[in-house]
Amino acid sequence: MLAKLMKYEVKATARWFLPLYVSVLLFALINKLTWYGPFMENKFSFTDSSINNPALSGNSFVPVIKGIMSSLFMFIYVMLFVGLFVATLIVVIQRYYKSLLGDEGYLMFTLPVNAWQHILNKLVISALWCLLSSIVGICSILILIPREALQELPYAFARVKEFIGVSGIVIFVLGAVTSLVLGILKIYSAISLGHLFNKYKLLLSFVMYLAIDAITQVVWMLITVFSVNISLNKIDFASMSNLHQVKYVFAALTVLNVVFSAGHFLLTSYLVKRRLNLE
Amino acid sequence: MNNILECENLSKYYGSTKALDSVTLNIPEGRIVGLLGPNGSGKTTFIKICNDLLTPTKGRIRIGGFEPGIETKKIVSYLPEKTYLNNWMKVSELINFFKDFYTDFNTDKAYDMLNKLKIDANTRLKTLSKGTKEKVQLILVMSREAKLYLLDEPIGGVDPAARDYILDTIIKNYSENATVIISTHLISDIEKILDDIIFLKDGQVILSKTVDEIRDESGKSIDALFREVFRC
Amino acid sequence: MPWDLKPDRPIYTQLIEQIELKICSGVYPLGSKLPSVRDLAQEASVNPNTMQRALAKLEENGLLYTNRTSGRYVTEDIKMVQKVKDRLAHDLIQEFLQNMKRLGFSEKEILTVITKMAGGAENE
Repeated sequence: MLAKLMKYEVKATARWFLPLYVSVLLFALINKLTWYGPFMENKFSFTDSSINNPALSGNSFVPVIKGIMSSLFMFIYVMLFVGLFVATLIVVIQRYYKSLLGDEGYLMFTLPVNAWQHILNKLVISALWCLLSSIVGICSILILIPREALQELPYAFARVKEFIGVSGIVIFVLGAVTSLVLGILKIYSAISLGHLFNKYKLLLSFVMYLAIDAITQVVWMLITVFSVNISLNKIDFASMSNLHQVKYVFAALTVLNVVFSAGHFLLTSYLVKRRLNLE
Repeated sequence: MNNILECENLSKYYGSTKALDSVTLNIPEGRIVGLLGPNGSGKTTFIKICNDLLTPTKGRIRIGGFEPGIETKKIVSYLPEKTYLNNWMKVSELINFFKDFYTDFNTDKAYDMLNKLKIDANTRLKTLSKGTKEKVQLILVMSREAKLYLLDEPIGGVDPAARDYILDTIIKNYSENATVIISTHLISDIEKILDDIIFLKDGQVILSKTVDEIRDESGKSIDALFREVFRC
Repeated sequence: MPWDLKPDRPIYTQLIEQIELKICSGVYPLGSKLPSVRDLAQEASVNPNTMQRALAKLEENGLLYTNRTSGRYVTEDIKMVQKVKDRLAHDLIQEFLQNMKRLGFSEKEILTVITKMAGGAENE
């Protein structure tokens, strides 16, 4: 059942993301060509004061167009890039707010499926799109980076691996992924809580999110302070290298994320199963 | 004859408001039942509870022997009052959706009804008129071979010809193993096809009889009796 | 002949009357096969349960009979149908007489009117 839900969830969301991804990558490519390629020669540049600047030679119609075009392309790319992340956030919210708690909820909640399966479905697919969007964003930047800088990358990556080790990378990735999952679940909790009220649901959801965020921060702070107090006896922070501190922090963050995530998941499952109140 | 739906002292309170107040009903299989009452009488609340869209405050309800949950959703087919289907999907995609999740969905029946109503399965839902959308929803709901059909205002926003078709479909789909509960305001249109009627007022059952008993005892149509009982 | 069901009388009784009428008038000839319960219910736009009960009652009265394998049939017994016809006619006439009397006609006046109208119709 869960697999079926996910199949339809992907179908419902892919129509937004795939064109966007293609556009972002396409414009990254276009920009690479217009800023670095042969296109760039003989281009009207506003900042180029060299003799070769066509602006100075007075024969500048085509170069002007080229200049305007490449600026335009860059502008579009930046817009798309920003749009990528805004759109991802909006879709994550909409797929829960509208699709589960809106009119479509009548369809969803009468399917012979458990409430938690619905939440897990939305969570997994939303997280997937977030990851994909990030990957597409990073790829687009990689496309834009000039070849010389690109060649530096493997070297930089090897240095990082040397510094924090494979375990460090693993912990970092785990920390990032659990943070993503927690972030999405916090949104779901906030929306579900906001939905308990009859009016101003959206506004209250936003308020709930702020509250949840604040509480999470406080708990995180308390735990860090508390654990530092305890561990000061066991671990001498002065002699520990930065490396271990970083790893320790990320590991603790990961664990905390998992615990909070579980809590939010249980909360939303309960709310949606027992306190559902569709319009 | 088995009861498909049994509820005992079923109540739903919102704070001090009693949307449903100690409702006790036993509805057998193979009946077409009218759930009648003015706005706010608790009809929609009752139907939502049957569908596990609301949790009762007190009392219990069993459908096919199960409390509302996954097992009941497999045997209950629900038509809400509003359009609730994904607008971006094509009709054929919706049919596949229903087929995917409901083992009792009869695809042939669905396409048969679509053809009779001359609805092209390849169109997206959002390009259809409201009336056609409602017909599609009804077709999807009635194409399931469920044990309990819950229809909330099935003929409300539809023209008279379509109304006849819908009532026709309900009769044609009748099975001795299934029960249809229809909640509606348009009583005179629907009286003839009902076996039993339940009058709901302020969350309570104030009348539960067969159509013929009422006509016999009161010499009135259900519609006329309704107007009398619920006079403003 | 379309089904004429009034809203203020039990459907069950009306169905029985309507079917009797159809049998007497030859819409359902003697010995003919009746459509299925479902088809009849659809035709009349009524609940199949109610139609089934009406048919069962008519079977009880002997106007219909069921052949287990092939369905429901109208009786071939002419005398039975005639009896029903007579009964229905009797009821109609009784109602007619009551209404005419309410209008103020005496029995003799009623006979005159009938002879004139019915006789007149024959001569046309």
